[in-house]
Amino acid sequence: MAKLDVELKVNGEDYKLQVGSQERLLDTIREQLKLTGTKEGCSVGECGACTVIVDDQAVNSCMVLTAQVDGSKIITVEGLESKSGLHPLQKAFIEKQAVQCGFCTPGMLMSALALLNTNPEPSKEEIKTALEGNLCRCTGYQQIIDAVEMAAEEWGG
Amino acid sequence: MAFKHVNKGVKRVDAYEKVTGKAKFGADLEFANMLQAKVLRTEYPHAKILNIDTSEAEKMPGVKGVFTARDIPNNLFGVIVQDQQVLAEEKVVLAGDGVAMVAAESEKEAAAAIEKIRVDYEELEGVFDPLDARQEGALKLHPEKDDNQVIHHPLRKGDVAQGFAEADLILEREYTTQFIEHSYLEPEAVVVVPNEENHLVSVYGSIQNPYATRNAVSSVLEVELAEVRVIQNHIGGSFGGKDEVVSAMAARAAVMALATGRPVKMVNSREESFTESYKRHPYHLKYKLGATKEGKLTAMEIEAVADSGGYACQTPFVTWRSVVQATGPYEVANVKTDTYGYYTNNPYTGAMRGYGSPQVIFAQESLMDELAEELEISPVELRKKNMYQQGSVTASGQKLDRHTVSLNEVMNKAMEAIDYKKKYEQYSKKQPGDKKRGIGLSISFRGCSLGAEAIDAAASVIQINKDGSVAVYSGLAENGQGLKTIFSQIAAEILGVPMNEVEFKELDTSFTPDSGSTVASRATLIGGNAVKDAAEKLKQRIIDFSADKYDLSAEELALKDGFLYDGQGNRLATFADLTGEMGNSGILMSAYGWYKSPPISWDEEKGCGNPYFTYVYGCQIAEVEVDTGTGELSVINMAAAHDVGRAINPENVKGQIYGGVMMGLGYGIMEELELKDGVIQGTNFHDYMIPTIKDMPDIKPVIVENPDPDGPFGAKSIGEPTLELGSAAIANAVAHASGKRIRSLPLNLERVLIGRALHKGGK
Amino acid sequence: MVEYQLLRAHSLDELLEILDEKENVQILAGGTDLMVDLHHQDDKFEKIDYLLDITAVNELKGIKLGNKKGEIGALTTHAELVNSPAINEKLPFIAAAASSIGSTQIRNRATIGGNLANAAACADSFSPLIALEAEVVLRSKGGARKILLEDFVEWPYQTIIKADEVLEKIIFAMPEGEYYSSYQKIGRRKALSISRISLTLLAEVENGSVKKAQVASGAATPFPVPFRKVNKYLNGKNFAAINPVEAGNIAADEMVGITGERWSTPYKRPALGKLVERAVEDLLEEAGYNG
Repeated sequence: MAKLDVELKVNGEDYKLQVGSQERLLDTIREQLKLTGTKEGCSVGECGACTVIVDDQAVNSCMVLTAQVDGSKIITVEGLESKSGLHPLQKAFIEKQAVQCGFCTPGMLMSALALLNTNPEPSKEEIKTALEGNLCRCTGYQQIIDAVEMAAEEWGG
Repeated sequence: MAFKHVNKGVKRVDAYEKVTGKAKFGADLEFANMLQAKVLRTEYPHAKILNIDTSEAEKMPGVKGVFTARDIPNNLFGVIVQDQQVLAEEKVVLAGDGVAMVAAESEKEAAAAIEKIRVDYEELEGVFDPLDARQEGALKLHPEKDDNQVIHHPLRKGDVAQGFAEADLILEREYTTQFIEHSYLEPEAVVVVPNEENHLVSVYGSIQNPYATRNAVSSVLEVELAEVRVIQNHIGGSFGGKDEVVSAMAARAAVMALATGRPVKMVNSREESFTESYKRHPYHLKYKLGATKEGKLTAMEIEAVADSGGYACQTPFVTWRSVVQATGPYEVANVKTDTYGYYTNNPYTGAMRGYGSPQVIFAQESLMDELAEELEISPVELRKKNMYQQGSVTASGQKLDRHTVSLNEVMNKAMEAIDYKKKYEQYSKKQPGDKKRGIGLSISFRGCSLGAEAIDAAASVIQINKDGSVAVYSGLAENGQGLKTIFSQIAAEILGVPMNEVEFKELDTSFTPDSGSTVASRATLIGGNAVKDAAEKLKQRIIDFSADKYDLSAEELALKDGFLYDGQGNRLATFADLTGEMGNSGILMSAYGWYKSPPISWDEEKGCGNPYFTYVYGCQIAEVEVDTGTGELSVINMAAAHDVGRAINPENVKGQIYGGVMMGLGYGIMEELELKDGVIQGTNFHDYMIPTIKDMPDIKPVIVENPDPDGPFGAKSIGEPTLELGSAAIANAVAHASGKRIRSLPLNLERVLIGRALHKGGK
Repeated sequence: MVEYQLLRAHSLDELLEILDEKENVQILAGGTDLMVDLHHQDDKFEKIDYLLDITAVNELKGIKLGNKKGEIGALTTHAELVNSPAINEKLPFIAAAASSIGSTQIRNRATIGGNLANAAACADSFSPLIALEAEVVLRSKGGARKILLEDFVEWPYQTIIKADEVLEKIIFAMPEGEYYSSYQKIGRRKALSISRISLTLLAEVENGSVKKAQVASGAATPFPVPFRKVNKYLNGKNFAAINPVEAGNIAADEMVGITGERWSTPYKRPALGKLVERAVEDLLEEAGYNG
């Protein structure tokens, strides 16, 4: 099968890639770019472990063919930490013990980032709505909410 | 006692890797020249294998090998009973049994080749209900056995006939619970590398119990334990679930790795995980309870029948925990309990957080509320009249006097946290409209660690490097619960060094001694003591050296904040300089730690003895709103009070409570693995629903601390107690709100609205 | 093994041209249903030679609500519906239905046209639009045709869209005068939940009576239909003469009349009745009738 040419900006880097017609954004990120922080948990858009940000929106990367997002700007969990250190969300997840096994964490961080980028002062209910597509079996979610609230406060100033 | 690191909510030592995406889980691992493998699983719950034709598959592109049971040196394995097949040979006993496997250059090629394997089956009649499986003359599923019984645990105390004769009221009730999927977010993944660093095979991946997996792989390959190495680091949740299923996967990958001479990776899709993994045991529970009109329990007769599915797996031990906890935390003079496990052609059942307790607690704590209602006594008063006090004797005859029996304290603290009394009164009045509120509670006692199941001991190794940095190795595994952090805290506390000087290393079975499995909420208690032991040995060495060097008595010296202090509070040396000097003087700066639990006992014939050396106590209360018009159920608030002995890390304990409460909520109101003649209906998260963030009630965790004489710094257990209480508390709250008692889990829309479940294709 | 050629259309003309020229084309929009089928290597792919991604076709996007008429482009995502001030102000039941679908990630991708064209029995987009008596515009290279949404689905997962057509937009007349609506949904959990039953009631009222009512349901029947008997019961009725319980019973009977007694009927009959009853109570309350 012929490969398709796509251009993506991932975590600020430009990539010119060739992708298969069945290649999901998740596959491209994990297998071509070797960014394995993005996890595959269900492959049917139910668990949110593969959540990344595509053009400012949280998206399940298992639900999108890479060719569909040609030209897009993508952020994965690896794009959060910068030279100046951890992102406020990462710091808050550590501070509030929002991490247990850590498998849902990258997706949670991406959904939370998409929320705070558009809504810097979310209510508790808005946080829950932003994270409703991210399943977690360890934490019972409370400390994750605490962390997003903390990050919103720190970040918003 | 003032602590520096223990009893503090210090940050997780593994959090940095996890929030940056750097943490490598099983599916993220890659090795040079690695193959990928897939398994062909049967769709039949019971069938004879007549022929397997792999010829077409072998010709497929990229295929490096196609394997069947004939390629497995020793095809049977199991932690307790060796009856589980690595690949089915003559017969499949459950839908999902593997029958063949393919190693290929890519996962896609392996999957394509799997499609080309032809298996001829002769379908056999199946048995899908343990109540059928136990009937005389029932179809035998394992022909080499006498019948379908996996296990029977009896317990006898006093004389139940006499006890029922003394009763003013006798209640007989039946309860049922369902199959549950662990639903760890990470599907199982392993990589086996052949001939690496003087090991025949190295096994990496999502392994809960590295030593159990090593046992399985070595036994399947028929090689020595020393030739098999298991390395465990990050695992995406387990909850008891990544034991036998992952051992089977590791054994399969090992066979293929040796045959091909190349690393072999296997990663389950979610559907494969659902199909192949073991589940929580469903139970049929019959309770008969006698009480005086004042509410004093006189006799309890219990029969619990568990569905073991196709294999024995952990059924013998799961049902054993049930027999110990079946009466609940109540003093009853006359008890007759029988717990059973039976083979069926359903998915097999094994360890899952709670391990045989959530089922019996749902029944017995529901029954206590039913009795309270009959006797017109409040649920709290009835419990307080009968529950264990200091020095009480349990159903198995154990006197509870070695630790603090804190049921009263946990109950009172939970009630206070949720304002129980006021709400109970308010919701007991008639409520207008369809939406009714109610509040319900449940309490439990739980034996810590393995108990009389097996030898209960664990090891650790601590190494102090010449720069004063400390490496901690443990034979127990981080499963996400926070073990690395807890053990680091314990080491830092004893050695008097800052947390950032302590590094917890990955678990490598070739380096650390066999410490048994990371199960039974035993890691902090048993493994924590082992870490403490190693740290204390090293501390002693340092103090002895310093006493000599500074000509001071050992009692005058203290290690704190990375320094050695004398009795006057003067800093004598840095920890780094001191330990560096010791190392250069030829002193061994490493130590093994070891801890073996105090003696326990169990008489399997009579069901009596001291099955656990200590217990924890908990109380959970649920406040619900029931929509009596639609059957919708909202859990609004929950309080969870747990005596943990000592919280090594209170923030971590809270994390365990939040998570356990939510898992208990899922068990109580929405989760159910639907089966049709042994076949799972729906193998992904849109069919099998676990709670989302929107389903979360407001949870009030209450940590109660009564330090245990045997626990490290007094610490006991928290992982499992947190999920065993919720379903009963919720069922009691629903009955309080709606007046309807539901005796089957989960309390889904149909059961709440019309009192029974409906199944697709059912009548 | 699934094999297809992936095509991408960048304009409506290009899209219609491809549909006209090629055979066995499956349209791909938000992908939240189709990607699940792809993961399962569903048999439907045996009949698919081309997968045509239309997400870049801007002509299919957008919400336009006028005074008389409204239209929603097929590629409008559920997130866009939830966040649209006009929808929230004028047709809040559409926002309510959209917000109950999937999760934030799903709503960011899934489109209203995709939800309709996939035609699952539990699809949440149908009942609000059927209550609006909406039509779908199906366009091919040769032109467009308009079909009443309630006639759009032939059977679950089966619509009347022809091979060379694309669902372009949904059009409807805006409710007139004073109107009230209610959207109700029962799911097995509070997010990521497939509807057990969903329901929309839209009613225009005048001088203390119902001028025109439309009740439509999702997941109660194999494919979404208006509840004509309930509509008939409510239409023209003075508020004082309306008995919400009776309306619920009529709806429940009507549902069972369509589906027959099924395994789920013992639950769905009382639950649907209750939802209709509540929707009617909402209507009366919002219209200021206090019994």
